[in-house]
Amino acid sequence: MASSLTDLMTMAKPEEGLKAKLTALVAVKPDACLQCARCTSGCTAFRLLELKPHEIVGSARLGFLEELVSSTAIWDCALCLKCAERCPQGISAAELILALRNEAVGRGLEVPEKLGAILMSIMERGLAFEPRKAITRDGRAVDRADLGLPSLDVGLSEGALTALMELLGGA
Amino acid sequence: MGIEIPVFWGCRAITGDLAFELSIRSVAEELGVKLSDLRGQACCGEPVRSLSLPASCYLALRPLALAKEGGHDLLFTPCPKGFYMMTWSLELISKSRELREKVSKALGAEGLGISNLAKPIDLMCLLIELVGPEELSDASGEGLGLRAAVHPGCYFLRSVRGAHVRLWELRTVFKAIGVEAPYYPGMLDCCGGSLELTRPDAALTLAGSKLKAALDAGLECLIVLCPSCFHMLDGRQEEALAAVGAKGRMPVLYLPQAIGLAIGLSTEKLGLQFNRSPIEDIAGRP
Amino acid sequence: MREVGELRIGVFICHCGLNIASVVDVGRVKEAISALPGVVVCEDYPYMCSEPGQELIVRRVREFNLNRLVVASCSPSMHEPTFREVARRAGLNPYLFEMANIREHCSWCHSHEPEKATEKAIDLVKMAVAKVRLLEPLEARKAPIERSALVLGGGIAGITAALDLAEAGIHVYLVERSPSIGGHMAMLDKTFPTLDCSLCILTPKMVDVARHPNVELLTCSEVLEATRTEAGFKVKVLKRARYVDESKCTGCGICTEHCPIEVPSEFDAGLGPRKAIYIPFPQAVPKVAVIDQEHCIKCGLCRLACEAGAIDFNQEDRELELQVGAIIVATGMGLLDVGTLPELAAVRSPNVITHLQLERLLSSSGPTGGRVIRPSDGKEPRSVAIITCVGSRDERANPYCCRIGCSIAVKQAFLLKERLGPDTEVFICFMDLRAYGRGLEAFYARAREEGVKFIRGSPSDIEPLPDGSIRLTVFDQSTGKLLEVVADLVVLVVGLTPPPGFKDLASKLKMPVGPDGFALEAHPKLRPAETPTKGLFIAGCCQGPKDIVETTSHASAAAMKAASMLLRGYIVVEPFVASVDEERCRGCGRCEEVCEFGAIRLEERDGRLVARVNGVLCEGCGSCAVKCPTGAIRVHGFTREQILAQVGVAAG
Repeated sequence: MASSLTDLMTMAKPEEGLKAKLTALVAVKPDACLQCARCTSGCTAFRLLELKPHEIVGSARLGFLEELVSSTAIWDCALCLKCAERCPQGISAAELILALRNEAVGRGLEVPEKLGAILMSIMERGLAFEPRKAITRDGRAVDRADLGLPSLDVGLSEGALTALMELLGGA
Repeated sequence: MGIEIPVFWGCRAITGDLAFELSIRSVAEELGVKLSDLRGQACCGEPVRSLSLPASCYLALRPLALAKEGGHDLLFTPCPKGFYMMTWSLELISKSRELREKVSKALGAEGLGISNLAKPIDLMCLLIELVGPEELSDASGEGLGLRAAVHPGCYFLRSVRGAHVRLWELRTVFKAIGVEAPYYPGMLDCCGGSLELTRPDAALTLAGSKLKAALDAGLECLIVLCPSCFHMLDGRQEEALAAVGAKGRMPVLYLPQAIGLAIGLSTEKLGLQFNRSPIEDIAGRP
Repeated sequence: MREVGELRIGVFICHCGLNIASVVDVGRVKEAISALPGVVVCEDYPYMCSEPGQELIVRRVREFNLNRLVVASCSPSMHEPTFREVARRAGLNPYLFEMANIREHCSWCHSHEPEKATEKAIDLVKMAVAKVRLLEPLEARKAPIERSALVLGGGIAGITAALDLAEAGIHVYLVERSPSIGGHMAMLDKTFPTLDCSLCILTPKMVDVARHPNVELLTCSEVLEATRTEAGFKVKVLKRARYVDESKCTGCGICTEHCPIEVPSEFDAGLGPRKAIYIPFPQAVPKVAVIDQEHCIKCGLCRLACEAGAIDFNQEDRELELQVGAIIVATGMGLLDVGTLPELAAVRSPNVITHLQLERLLSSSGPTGGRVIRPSDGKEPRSVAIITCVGSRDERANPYCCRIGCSIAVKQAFLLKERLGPDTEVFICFMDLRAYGRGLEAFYARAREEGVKFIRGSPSDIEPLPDGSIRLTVFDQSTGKLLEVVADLVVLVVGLTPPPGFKDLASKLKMPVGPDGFALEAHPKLRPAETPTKGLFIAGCCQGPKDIVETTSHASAAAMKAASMLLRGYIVVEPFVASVDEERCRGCGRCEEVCEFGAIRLEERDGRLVARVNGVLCEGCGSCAVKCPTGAIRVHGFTREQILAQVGVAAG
């Protein structure tokens, strides 16, 4: 049954199904939000970018999630967790933002380049970055072996990789 | 002391942050903690969070399963982001049956079990609970006598235990090694490390603001705990300061490096040759 | 004592409107119960507790000569007394009545399974019938009570209750932990919304209560123990030594001038000093000095200076034993320590103060004589930011609202503007503004008129700057702007909690507390000043934070409830008490060991020991009956046979 609520700016209707899906893993649901805006008051990203966590939680609370999934603001989050630390209701706007990001990724929407590169690296060698030699202050390139550090057993086994792919695939 | 624990290093350490690895190894050894390297070191899943929470959760818990399989009850995870990923993932699977099943299945692919996980411990737990402030203080003798700006960093500070406990832990360790770390405006701010992946310019501005805050406070150096923070504040210091139009330079040390200096370890053993920031002034102490 | 003759049982099933009838098939229950042996009448009615419903029962009892009554309806805690009264009116012993709860225990919790609910209802009524067969007629007792009361706590709640009781002719012991009565109200500058001077309206009451012939004031005193007696309570009170003779001290204060030791003053909320020998505040009652043993160095300078010779280092603590009929707990509230909140964990600035500390700065008898200054440098602030809800409505601290924070903030903002001048900027950062009650909306409007800036947003970063000012960053939802406020002084309206030591006190008095730690009232709507324990009443903030008018109303309500009981002179004791078959008792004493209420004791009878029950103290818990190895003890109304009969039915 259609909701009696409409967002007159976009003519969007709330989507309870999408809300349930995206809030499945969050510790405290956005419905608990008191709209005190403390999260936005302290938001690391808001000062420089456009992210207003209290608006994201507020929209999610009412069920207006579609616009958030495709927004650029969700990629502004610095994941500093101040919102989660200070929310009087225990809501983590950051967790909600991560769920929105996951949804965007799952739908094949554009993903920041660096994240894609990190994923490729993990698939390839189990690590987020490519191992590099370290440069000393006087310009020498040195690696672990040079310093006599033990070699490490690094990488994801085949089984682990397959398991990881499966988890990534099932968005 | 006779403590033996496996260690999970994390991507930054393994891919070239030798300052982190060396200082931790040296300090641990000096304080009587024997570290063994966990087999199967891989990403803890932190950057994967934005792509898939279940996948990142799996990557975070896998090392705990590997440690337990290796016969260990504890896994030392000095990287605050890695430690956060592990404790957060443990909480997530305790609250969601569906997630627990997904991760359990994934662990099963390598014959690992979700009910067989080691407990993650971080650097503070090692220093305060396993070694003890008195031992640390004794080993530090006179202490460093340094006035530093501490950058606790978001993942150390906002972990499950609560900021006031974390700040108390820092005060305890600093007292033991003779470092004065007064409050300064901006102390609790983010350095931009996790923003680098999606908004690199803003991230650099954050790092620059952080450095500027430490400079404005007139403190001798900046002490960090996290490789991601170190990368922004030490590795990219020049760019960061330029981004906010600030003048000056700020020596940046890892906490284990500061501890190492206090207990009398050499700069080479602490990997100070790999710090990019101007640490000359403090390297000579005590 | 079993009645001889035929059992004639009447069963009455209530629909409770739709509460029961929409789930339970009342017709089927009626059918099943009518078939039971001994059930002479079985009827249903929409509202059994209503007047016609009750009259129906009375009529049927008389028409059919019923001698046992069962009502299947709501919970006994709702209407057991109602139907006992109906039984009595109908000429039946009120204890030959049993209730079956087919609402709270059936229709309300099994509303999605009407089939099963009906089966359960039938079982519950059958169980009631099985028990009612075995009930015996009992008599309630009138137990006389001591005509005196103990009021715990000398704040406005305690003072009001004590005065009300004293005026009604009841002897009152007013016990106060600190050296003076007055409580938090004495610490306030002005009260909202009338802006009365708090001490001006309080001190006359303080003097009245201290001078009242029916009031015995015990300051520096605390309750050590409280036990129930037949006539009320026996309370052990510790009257701590002041080391000053109350009868000699004139309250001149010279001793305080000579004392070399300075410590933070509790009355000034830590903002100002007091000496080790001190008078808490100029209007203290009693106006007698007291020595703080913890910090006194026994230099004797005060003794030398005292012209009245009132200092006595040899004074000792005393233990008093009071016998009272009722206790009113009026212990007030405490403030939450907000230093562990993450956003405040790193803040160590003297210019971030609590609302109570601001009251002391505003107060003319405070540490600055009423000048509002920054603690760090003594200068007048040019900007003040008040933050509400610090630790209230917060799952990390107090989940509940502190009720009076918004009114306090508006009041303090107004007073700051008045005191510091219109050029001083005053901001209130709030989540919601709840200034309710008579006169408060107008007061809120006045504050806006006076130029107080209301910012609808909760600050996250609270950063002390090197020059002593504090930087707040707050998102203002009305304008959508991220605002920075650099304030010279920041006032936190912090959460309100039960006072220190309340948990222990509640435990000593066997007084239940709610999940928030405050005293639990007997009924949240209808009986806010009583506790479930007879003779124990609550007044004021010990039941939850409230403002002064709510406190005085609550205190008078408690006094009224206590007075009603004390003036009547007796309480009605229900007969559900233990009784001992002295022939079977072998005097082993295990019952006495296990009784928490001291209600069963071994006594000598015909050369041997038998257990005897004190019916007034007995709470009918049944522990003795369980412990008794010979089965000599039974609890009236809950005997083994009665319970087993119910079990038998339930087990089928």
